[in-house]
Amino acid sequence: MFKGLSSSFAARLTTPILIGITLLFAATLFFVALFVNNLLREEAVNRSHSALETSTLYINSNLQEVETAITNSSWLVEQCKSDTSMFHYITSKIVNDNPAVVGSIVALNPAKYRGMKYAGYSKRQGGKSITYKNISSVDYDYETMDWFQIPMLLGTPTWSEPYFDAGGADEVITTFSYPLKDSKGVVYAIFTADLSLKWLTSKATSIKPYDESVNLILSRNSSFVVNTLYEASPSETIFSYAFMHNSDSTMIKVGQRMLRGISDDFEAVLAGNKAYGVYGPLDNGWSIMIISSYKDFLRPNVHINIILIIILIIGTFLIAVICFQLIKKLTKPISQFSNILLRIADDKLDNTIPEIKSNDEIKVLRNAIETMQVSIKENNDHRKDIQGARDIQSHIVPDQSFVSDLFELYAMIDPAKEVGGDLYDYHKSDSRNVLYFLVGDVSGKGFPAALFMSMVVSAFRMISRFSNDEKSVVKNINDTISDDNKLDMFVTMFFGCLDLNTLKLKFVNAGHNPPVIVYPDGRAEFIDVLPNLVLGAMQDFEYKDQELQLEKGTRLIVYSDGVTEAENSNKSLYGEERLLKWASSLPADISSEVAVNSLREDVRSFAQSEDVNTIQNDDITIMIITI
Amino acid sequence: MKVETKKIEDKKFEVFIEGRVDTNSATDFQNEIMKLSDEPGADIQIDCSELAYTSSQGLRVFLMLQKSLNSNGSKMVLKKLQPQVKEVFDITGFSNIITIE
Repeated sequence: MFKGLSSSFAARLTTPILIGITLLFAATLFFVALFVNNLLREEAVNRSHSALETSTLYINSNLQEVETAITNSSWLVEQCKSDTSMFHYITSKIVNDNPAVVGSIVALNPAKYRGMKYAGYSKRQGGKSITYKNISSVDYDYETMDWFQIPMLLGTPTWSEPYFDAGGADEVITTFSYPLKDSKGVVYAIFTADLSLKWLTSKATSIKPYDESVNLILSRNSSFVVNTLYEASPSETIFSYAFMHNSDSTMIKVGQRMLRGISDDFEAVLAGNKAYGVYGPLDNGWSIMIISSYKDFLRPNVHINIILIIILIIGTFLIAVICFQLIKKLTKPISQFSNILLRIADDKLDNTIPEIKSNDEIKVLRNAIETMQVSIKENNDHRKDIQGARDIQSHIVPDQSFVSDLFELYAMIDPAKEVGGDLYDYHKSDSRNVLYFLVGDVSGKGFPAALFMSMVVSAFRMISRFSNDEKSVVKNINDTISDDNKLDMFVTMFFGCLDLNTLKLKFVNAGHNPPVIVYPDGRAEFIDVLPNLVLGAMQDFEYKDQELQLEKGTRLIVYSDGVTEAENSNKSLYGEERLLKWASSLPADISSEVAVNSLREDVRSFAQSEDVNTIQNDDITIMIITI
Repeated sequence: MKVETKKIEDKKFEVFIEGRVDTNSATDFQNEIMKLSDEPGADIQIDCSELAYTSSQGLRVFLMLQKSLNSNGSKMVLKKLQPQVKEVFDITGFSNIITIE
C-alpha cells in the first residue's frame, strides 16, 4: 500500500493533511487539558474547603464530648473529694462511657490535703476491661507533669501537648485537664481524661477530599496532634518539619498563621509534589489542616488525556489510511493518462481512454486527452493529404533537367509552403524543332494558388499541342482561365518558343518579371519586355509577342519574383541589381544545373545573412536554358 | 496598411491608401476597398502616394474592384503612384485595364 511512498502524489498530499490534523488534535488536547485542569483545581478547592469544614465540626464535637464528660462529672468528685475510694468509680465510668478516652485521673493537690499525694487512675486495658490504681509513686511524681502543673497554674481547663505517657497509658496521648476548685477558688484536685491520638487520628482521617490527602492537627504550640504526613515523634512541630525541609518558607508562614487561629488556603511543595492545602482553627485553640497533592486531584485529567491521545493516534492512523487510499484512487486515472500520453507521443493514436464517472477536473483532463487524440489523428490525416498534394504537384511539372544537342535546360521550384503557385513547363516539338517553355507565378500562395497553377499547366499542355503560334497559345490560355474566374486569381507568365534551327526566340511576357539574358561574352541584362496583361484577369486581351535573335553560348535565366523579392531580416530585397551582378559573374562553362543551384544559394545566403531563421516568404522558381 | 475613404460629393469618393499590401494585409485590404463597389455609378479617385508596395494578392484586389466597378457603371482612377508600384502595374499589364494617372 505504501509502495513508492515518498514520490507518490497520494503520499505528498497525505503528509500535510496528517500534519495539519495532528497539530489540530494536539491543540485541542492542550486546550481540553487546560480547561479540565482548571475545573479539577476548582473542584479541589471546593472539596478541600468543605472537608475542612466537616472535619472542624467533627473534631470539635469529639473533643467537646470528652470535655463535657469531665465537666459533667466534676460535681461527683466535689461530693466525695475526701473519699478517694470513690475515685475508682468516677474515673472508670468516664473511661467506660467514652470510647475515645483511654484513661482518666483524679489527682489531689497535696497542698490542700496536708501533703497527701493521691492520683486515682482508670485505664482501658484493651477490650472492655478497665484497671484502676493510685499511680502516685516515687517513680511517678504527678505534680511535675504538664497535665497537672499547667491547669494548676492557669486555673482553667487545658488540653496538653501530645506526649508519650510512660507508666500511664503507654501510648501517645493528649490530656484534657479540668481543675476542681473549692469555694475560695483554690484548686484542690485535677480531673483528667486521656485522649488517644491513634483514635483522634482515625477520626480526623475519616474525612478527606482525596484518598491520598494528608490531615494534620496542630496543638497550641504547633506540635503535631494528628500527622499523617510522616512518622513524627510527639515533640516535633510544623516548624521543625519546615526546618528539616530547607526552611520551607511557605510552611513556616502557614504555621505562624495557624498559631494565630487564622483560616486560609495555600500552595506548597510537599515531598516533591505540588500540593494545595486549607487550614482553620479548632475550638480548643488547636488548628486543623488538610493537604491534597495536585497529582491526586488532577488524576482524572491524566485519564482523559490518555484516552484522548489514544483516540488521536488511532484517528490519525485511520485518516492517513483513508486519505492515502482515497487520493490514490482519485489519482489513479492520472497515471493511466500519462501512459496514454506517452503512447500518443509515440504516434499510437488508437488508445481507449478510460471513462471517468465523477464530474471533476480529472474528467476535464480525460476529455481534453480524448479531444487531443482526435485532433492529432485529424492533423495526421491532414498532413498526409498535404504530403500527397505536394507529391502530385511536384509531378505536374516535367523533369527538372532536359538536355539535347543544341541546348541544356534545368529548372527548379522551391515552394514557400508545402505547395505553391509557381510553375514551369517545357515541351519540345520534334516536328517543328522548337522548344516551348514557360515560367509562371500565380497570385497568392498555398493551396488556392496550387490548384490554380495545376489548371494553368493543364491548359498550357492542351493548347500548346494544337497551336503553332505562341501569341495564340497565350491568348487561348488567358481566355480559358479567365472564363468564369470568379475569384479573380491570375498568373504572370513568361512564355517562350525557341526555334532550334535559327535560334530565334519568340516570346510573350504576360506580366511576368523580365528574364535575364547572358550573352556569350558574359554581359548580362534584362530582356526588354512589353507590358502585357497577366493571364486570367480579362478575356479577349490581345497579347503582343516579341522576337530576339540568340546565338550559341547564350544563357536565358527565367525566374519568379520569389528571387528578386527575397527578403532578409532588415526587410531589404534581393533585387534586380544583385541578380544582374550574379548573372554577369557566372562562369561560361558551367551547366544550367550548377547555375540554377548557384542562384538559389545566392538568394538563400542573402536572406539568411543576418538571421538563420528567416522564413522564405514566397515560392522561388528558376529556369535556366543554356544554348 | 490603411484605407481612408472620403465622400466629396454625391457619388464622388476620394480614397487614400497607405502602407504595404502583402500576404498579411491583403484580406483586410480586400474587405476595406470592396466597399467602394456598393454604390453604382460612382466616381472614385484613389490616392496611392503612400502605397509603398503591393504583392500579387494586392493586384488581385485591384482587379476584383475594377471588374466589380465595371459591372455597376462606376469609374476608378489610381493617382500619384510611387515609381516602384507603377512599375508593378506596368509589368503585369494592369496599366492596360486600370486607369492610372
